[in-house]
Amino acid sequence: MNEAQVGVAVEIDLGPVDGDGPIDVRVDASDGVEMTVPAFVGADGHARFRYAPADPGQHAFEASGDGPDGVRGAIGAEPYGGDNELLRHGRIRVADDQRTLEHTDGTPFLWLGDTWWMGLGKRLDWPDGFGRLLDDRVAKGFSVIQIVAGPLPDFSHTPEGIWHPQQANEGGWPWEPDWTRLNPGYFDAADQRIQALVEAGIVPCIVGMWAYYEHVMGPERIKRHWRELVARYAAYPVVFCVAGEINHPGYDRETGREERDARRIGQLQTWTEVAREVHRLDPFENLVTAHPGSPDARSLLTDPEAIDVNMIQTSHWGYHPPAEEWRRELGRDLGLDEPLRMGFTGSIGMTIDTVAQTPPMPLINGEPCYEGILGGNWQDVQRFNFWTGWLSGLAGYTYGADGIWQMSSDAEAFANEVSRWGNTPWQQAMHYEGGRQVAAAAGLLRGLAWWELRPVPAARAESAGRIAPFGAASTDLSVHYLPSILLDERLRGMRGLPIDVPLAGPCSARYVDPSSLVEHQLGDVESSGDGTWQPPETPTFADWVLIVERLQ
Amino acid sequence: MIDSRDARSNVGDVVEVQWPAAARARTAAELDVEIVGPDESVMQIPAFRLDDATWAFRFVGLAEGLHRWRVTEGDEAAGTLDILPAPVAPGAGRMPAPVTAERDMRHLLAPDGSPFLWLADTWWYAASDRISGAQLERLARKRFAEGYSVIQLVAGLYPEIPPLDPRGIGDGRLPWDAAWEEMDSRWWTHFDRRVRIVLRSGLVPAIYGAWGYYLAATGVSTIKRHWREIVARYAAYPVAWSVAGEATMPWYDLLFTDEAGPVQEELAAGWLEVARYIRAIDPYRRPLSAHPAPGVQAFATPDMFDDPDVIDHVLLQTGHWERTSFQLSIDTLCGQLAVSPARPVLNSEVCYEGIAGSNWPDTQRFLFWSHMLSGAAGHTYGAQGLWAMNDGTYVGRMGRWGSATWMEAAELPGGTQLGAGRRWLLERPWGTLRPSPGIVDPHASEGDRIGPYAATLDDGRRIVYFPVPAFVERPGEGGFKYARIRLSDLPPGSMARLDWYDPRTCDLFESTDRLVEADGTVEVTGSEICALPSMEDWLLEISEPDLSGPMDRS
Repeated sequence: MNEAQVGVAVEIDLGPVDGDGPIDVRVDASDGVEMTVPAFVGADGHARFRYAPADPGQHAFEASGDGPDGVRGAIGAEPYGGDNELLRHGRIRVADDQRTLEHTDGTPFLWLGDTWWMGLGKRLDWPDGFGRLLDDRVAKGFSVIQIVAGPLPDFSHTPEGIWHPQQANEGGWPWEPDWTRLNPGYFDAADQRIQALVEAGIVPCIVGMWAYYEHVMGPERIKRHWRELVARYAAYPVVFCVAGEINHPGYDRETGREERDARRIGQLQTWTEVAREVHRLDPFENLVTAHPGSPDARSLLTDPEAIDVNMIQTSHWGYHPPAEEWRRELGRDLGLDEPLRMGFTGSIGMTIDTVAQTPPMPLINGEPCYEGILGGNWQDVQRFNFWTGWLSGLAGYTYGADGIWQMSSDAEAFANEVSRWGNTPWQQAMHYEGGRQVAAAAGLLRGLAWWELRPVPAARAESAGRIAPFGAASTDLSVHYLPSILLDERLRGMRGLPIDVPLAGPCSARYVDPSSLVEHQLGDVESSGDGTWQPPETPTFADWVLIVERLQ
Repeated sequence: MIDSRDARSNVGDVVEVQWPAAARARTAAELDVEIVGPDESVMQIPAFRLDDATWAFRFVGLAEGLHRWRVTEGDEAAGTLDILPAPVAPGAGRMPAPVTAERDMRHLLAPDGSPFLWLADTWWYAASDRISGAQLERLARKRFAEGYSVIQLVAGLYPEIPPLDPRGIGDGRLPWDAAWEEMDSRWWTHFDRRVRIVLRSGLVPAIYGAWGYYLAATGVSTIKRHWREIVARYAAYPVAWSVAGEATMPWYDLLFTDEAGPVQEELAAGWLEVARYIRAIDPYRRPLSAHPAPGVQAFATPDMFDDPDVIDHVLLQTGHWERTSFQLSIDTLCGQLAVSPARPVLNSEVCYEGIAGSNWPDTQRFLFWSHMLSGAAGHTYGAQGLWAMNDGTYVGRMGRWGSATWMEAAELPGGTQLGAGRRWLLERPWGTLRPSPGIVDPHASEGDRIGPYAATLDDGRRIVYFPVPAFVERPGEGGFKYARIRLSDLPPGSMARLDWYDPRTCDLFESTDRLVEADGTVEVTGSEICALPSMEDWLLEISEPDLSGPMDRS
């Protein structure tokens, strides 16, 4: 009898394999549910499967496939007794409101991601560097790490790019050269990092690869790749993101429009099929999403129901969007009729429009302006994007820092084989102020019933010439982000304007400095006859968060 | 009581002479001292009151030999000053080179004629009790080590507070009594200590007499007395003057009202009169200017008032609105540089780092390098929290521009990065920089100030600054501003060394040697979207291979 705890992945060695065929394990769970768990083969030639019991009791299993066919056993599960909050509350699912996320025990889950696209590579050295960065992120309050387990972004799909040394980890490349077969050594090395994330209470959002490899690998290899990821990681509380920039046809912009259009269309078909396949393979029903170029993943996939969680990417331009001519060109390359939505205005517009889609689906901003990218986008940009996005209806927000996403390191800089986004090593970027402040903001929200918040009506802001109110409210709580006076008038939300106070009963208010969380109490709120309240001037001209709570 | 009527000093050192005042001098408002040099040249210096019974003057000898002095009127005091040769090796803590103005030049100059590279930090409230003397000294030494050369500070009549408000208290005192009748010499002794801290740290104090609106409250005659005290106490030191900060801006409550216009006119006339007065009483002719006020549409000194005989250099103030201020900043700079006869022009207030939660190091680097490569005589940095020496309690009339304390603001990276920029320039004959925008394509232009800036040194080297792409709205080839970089006007057929420096540290990042084409150009390419070492800001030095890097100073 193998021993396990509820919700905690246990790994069972099924013995040596005898062939290349798929190996599945049928599990009869203690509650009578039967499930099929895909197995995987390690570099030592042994087949294994990972299983996380959903309930206490005995879970019987039997393998089928080349080699371990007929291997049987049982797993005895006890209730979870540890202090890992993620394991205690369970994996992530969509809440009943269809707009937010929660653990399987119903506890709301606040998605604050960090972007480690290349975090399975050697430049984030294992275990020291990985542990150092992970400890920092845990201490700050991040809850998700977006990480690629396959061919990486920002490498060309030429042989030089695909088989670049920096595409490998300690176990080699994910695939053997010429795509002959998966390399289990790569995944064995990746395993310990994914496990470390979970042990630290972080949800890995595992991205299969960058989307443009689709036309190099073809759908069947991609499905094989994803079977491996599901087999190895589905027992953990993870989110599966089928690919990055699903409608980006690659960096070879000199290739003709027709071919790139064909590629993009093919990619979207494949990634839709892959999303369905991941759902089919995953017995633990982890959430599935996809990372888009633009607009949102659900709109791009050929089947909007192929994913559980929608995702947007809102560009790396903050205050100053590039000229329309160029945004139009970029949009055309992604198959859009309109210019790409960039900058603060584009980011807000894309968020609001995507949140408004029906039926509702939780929305993550999976790639806003990375801090430090393009030599800018510092903490003020990070705060603006986080707060305006969150209060416009996001279910989650993923921060990113230039230097960390590509894991440029003190010891070895990122190769920049395609692009040259920056040279800052992760060892420096991990200390960026914006990352700390965004994480602190998430901490502030966690102290409130954030999951009950819904964006406030936009009419009052729009009548004052503002593009959005940047406010959200429930029956007991309202939260507004009041941007800095440095911003264009249209982007100042409800700064200087009366806000609606629809809360039932007497309320009190406070300003919170989003860079330090220092609070200024404003006392009781006395709304005027029309149900509005004019807040006093903000304590400084910088941005502030205004919180109004119903007195208990 | 010290009586040092017969004193001895060295060339270049400031000596303070004190004497017990005669009975009739004890109530005198002013005393002047006449100094006759060994060559019989005559100089008149204002004296100042140390206490009820003691007067003093400060003198810096520029020539060896016995000098004779006497009070011209109101006292019988007289004595000698024996000026000895300057020490061969300057010791630690000796004063920085005096700054003097010279006409028809683009730079402030040291007495030896070398250009003085102004990089100032802004500490308006350096004499406030919100920072101790020891703290100020640590801060000054830090700035000097980083590469700064000037500190802008106000002599007691500070911005953003009503006259004689407690927020301006230093050493428990204010510079004037409530009726504006008597100065408190103990406050001025405190201010002496603060100014000396700046000086002995190796930095030049740029002393602002008052904020502009004080003149409307006190009248010209009181402000002249204030300035006479400043000149008497500090003109012997290597200092620069600004007659006032935001000189023509009325008290904040009057801004944008009908009353503002007449007050503005009154202030302009009054401060010009004060400036002429300073010029008349300052025997050392320290460089004098006035700090403008965007609040009344004055972005450069001449937008308020001008007299080329008294205004030595032009100061700008061009907003704190991050990238939105860039176009106006460079437009104003270039507009002033186009005026003939030429005067040094520098931006004395723009985009404090951290103000209103923004204006971070990328903004600071852009402003420094764009100004320097466009022909500015220097640049003034400022950090939110530092200008008012905010210890967490300070709120000015205009409100809180930010909540950072001066301790936090002093550590902001943009400040350090500008110091590195000045040190880098000092390793080159920076005084010969000539704006040469056309040597790089793309480049900033009159209609689009957010692009690369270039200048040429007289030894043939060229310097180019590429701003962060995050600022760039107008695309270049293929949609990317920096997809292709074309350098031109190089010697055809020669080798050009391209040294790329990280403008955050001014450390050399990489070097390449390139053959210049027959048409004098070099095309720089990199990745498809970026020819620079990365999509950040960069500093490029182009030279013949054996000219690259710092000058050989051996």
